[in-house]
Amino acid sequence: MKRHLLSAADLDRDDALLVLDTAAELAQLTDRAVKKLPTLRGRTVVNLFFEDSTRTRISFEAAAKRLSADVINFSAKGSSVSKGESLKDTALTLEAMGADAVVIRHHASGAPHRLAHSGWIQGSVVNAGDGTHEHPTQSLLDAFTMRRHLAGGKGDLEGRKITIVGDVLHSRVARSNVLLLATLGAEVTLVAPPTLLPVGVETWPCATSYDFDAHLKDADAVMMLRVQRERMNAAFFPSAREYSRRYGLDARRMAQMPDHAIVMHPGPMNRGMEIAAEVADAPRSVIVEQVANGVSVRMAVLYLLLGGATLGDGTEA
Amino acid sequence: MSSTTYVIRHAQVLGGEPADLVLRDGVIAEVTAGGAASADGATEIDATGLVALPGLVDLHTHLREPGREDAETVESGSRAAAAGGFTAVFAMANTDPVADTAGTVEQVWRLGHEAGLVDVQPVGAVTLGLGGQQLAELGAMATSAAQVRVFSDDGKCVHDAVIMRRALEYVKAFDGVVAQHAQEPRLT
Repeated sequence: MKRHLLSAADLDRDDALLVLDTAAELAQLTDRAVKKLPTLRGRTVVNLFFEDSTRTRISFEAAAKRLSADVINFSAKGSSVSKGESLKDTALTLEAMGADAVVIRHHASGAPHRLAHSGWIQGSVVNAGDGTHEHPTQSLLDAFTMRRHLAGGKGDLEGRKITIVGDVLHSRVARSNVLLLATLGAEVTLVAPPTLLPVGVETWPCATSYDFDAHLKDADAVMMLRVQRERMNAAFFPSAREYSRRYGLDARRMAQMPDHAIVMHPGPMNRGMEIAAEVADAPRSVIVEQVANGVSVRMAVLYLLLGGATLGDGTEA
Repeated sequence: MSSTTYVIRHAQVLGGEPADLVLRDGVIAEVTAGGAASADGATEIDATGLVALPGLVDLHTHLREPGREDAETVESGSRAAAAGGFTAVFAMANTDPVADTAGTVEQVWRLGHEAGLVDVQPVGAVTLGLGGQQLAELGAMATSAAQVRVFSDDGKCVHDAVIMRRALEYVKAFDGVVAQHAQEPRLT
């Protein structure tokens, strides 16, 4: 594995499977009374969040703590960033405090890359979502969830058909998923109104469509993306009503999916907009499980990047 | 119906030499030299001195209904169109209410269907109320019974470049087109 995880494209097939297999092993921890391994004891993980986030930050924090790392949470609000400190100076400060890994979420696409390649810090950088660019650990937890339900929890996703629907234009989740799922052999179709597909999408390793109904019958998984109502004001679509009629997953559409197919959503959901409440709460919806798997996958990423000890009960590095 | 066969005599097809056209069940079954077609049981129409053309299509009409039935109705407009050789007319959206919802375009379409003279294709408004601010529900109009494929704010013009770009992209999903008065209202 590379030293940083900035893009889902940083993972080749072997790396991706290593993360997923490691996550599967670590997931067994959650069934135990004591959910903690000593593997990263004495290492420091900094959560550097320039953008609001609930589940991703908590997920990384839980992951680091279960591996016994020291965790420092840094959010831009109420920090020296709000006093105008640059990314560079923030990074140098963290380096001086001895961060072994920096988990960064930033509103600017490319900020994690800058942080990793400017010589400011020595530790590993994990991209926890940058602008409209990428969110690689989200794609890993999505692949992990798909593998559990569609591939018996092991191997890759060869030939599985995944339909991803919604605001692809602004979605870092979609970008990372397309890259990782292609690496794992899945066939991805992005469905969106033409206004919400980015220029150049034809060069991505996936198919695109404007017709949701045509991609339900053969889907193994349907992943809905969050659509912000504010996009309507920028005229990306006429109204919330028309959006959910054409691109929302409701009970009628869900009934056209094969029995084994799962419904996914990275959250936070707009119930009634891109996904109907009865779909979000349906037995085939794995949305809550995605959150749980997020912790296991992030444990695996931190463990592998920080070169922790062999996995095993109580044995230290 | 007693007879579904017509023979049109001595028509100049696309302005050419006079010929007879045999129409059977609504389609051209045969074209012969002028006066040569058999009229067995058919209704004969003498078209000497007339030119035969395919049905004309008018992409820009105002049928005024709903809202200004005193000026024109879908029925009166289709009657005029048929008399002039038009078999399809596109009705612009500046009615009252504006044709910016599935309900209104379906109403116009049904009125045309009931008149039964020409194909009346409603044009959908690009923006709500032709106001130029917010996209109308173009997809809903496209999937309605009216199957709208042409959208225009006509004389109001879509003058916001962002709205125009979004509209042009959005209609790709259902093979629509946007018709535009190439005019900047703030300059004219």
